[in-house]
Amino acid sequence: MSTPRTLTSIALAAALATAAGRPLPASANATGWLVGGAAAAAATLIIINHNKQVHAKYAAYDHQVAAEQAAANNAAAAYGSERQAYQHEAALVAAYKHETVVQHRIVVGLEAQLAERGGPTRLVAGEVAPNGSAASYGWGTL
Amino acid sequence: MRTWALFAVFALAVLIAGCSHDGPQVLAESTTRAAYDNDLDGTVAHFDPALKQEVTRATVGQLSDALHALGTMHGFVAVGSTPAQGRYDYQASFDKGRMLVQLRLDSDQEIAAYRVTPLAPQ
Repeated sequence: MSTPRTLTSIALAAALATAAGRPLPASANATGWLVGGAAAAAATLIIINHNKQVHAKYAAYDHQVAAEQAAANNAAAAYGSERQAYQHEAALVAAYKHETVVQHRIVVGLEAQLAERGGPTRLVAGEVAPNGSAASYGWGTL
Repeated sequence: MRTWALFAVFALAVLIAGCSHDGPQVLAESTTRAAYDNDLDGTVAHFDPALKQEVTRATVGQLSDALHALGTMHGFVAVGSTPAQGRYDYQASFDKGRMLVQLRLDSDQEIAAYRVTPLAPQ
């Protein structure tokens, strides 16, 4: 588990928690569920990060034990420790995958929120949203 | 007696089918696919009368061009909803990008607002 990734995840979680606590404009009422979802996702990310740290720690420990056992010519024990280390690393990969899924969900949710906040009350095809980020197309008031 | 029972079941099934509305995702998909095909009638097929007034052939054409710029349209994935407010969001995937498709349904389950916004590349 590298420190920059941990810091990034914590920063993301903190940003989401801050966003959850900030009052939204009336136009953003419809996206309240997004903020709630983001807060839940932030909590999930914190749990995932904790699990990753635990698996990484155990994997490192098992590798170390395996090396010591190999040095002591205890092949069977070294194999067992390496196997255990592998299982922890596999769990770590699964945690990374889960983290990616959660982060993707957050990104899509924030994009939806941004699109909703940035757009004028009434858009027609081809109009550019005021935030300049993207052209929105459609009709009616969301 | 048995014939009457069968007839009653059939009539009930017809009644339910007649009353049922398409789900929001079906509405979002069919509307977006119609816009993709530059089909004005298909695009507004599920719009409420007020929203239909806003749509022109030119704006449907602009939306169609924007959708075609991303290549072939693939699946729709729900990314959020607030059913109490009739709000549903979907992510439409294309060969070369993604679009956020947002709907607001009125109490008759007709589309009262429809918006498509390009999403940043992944």
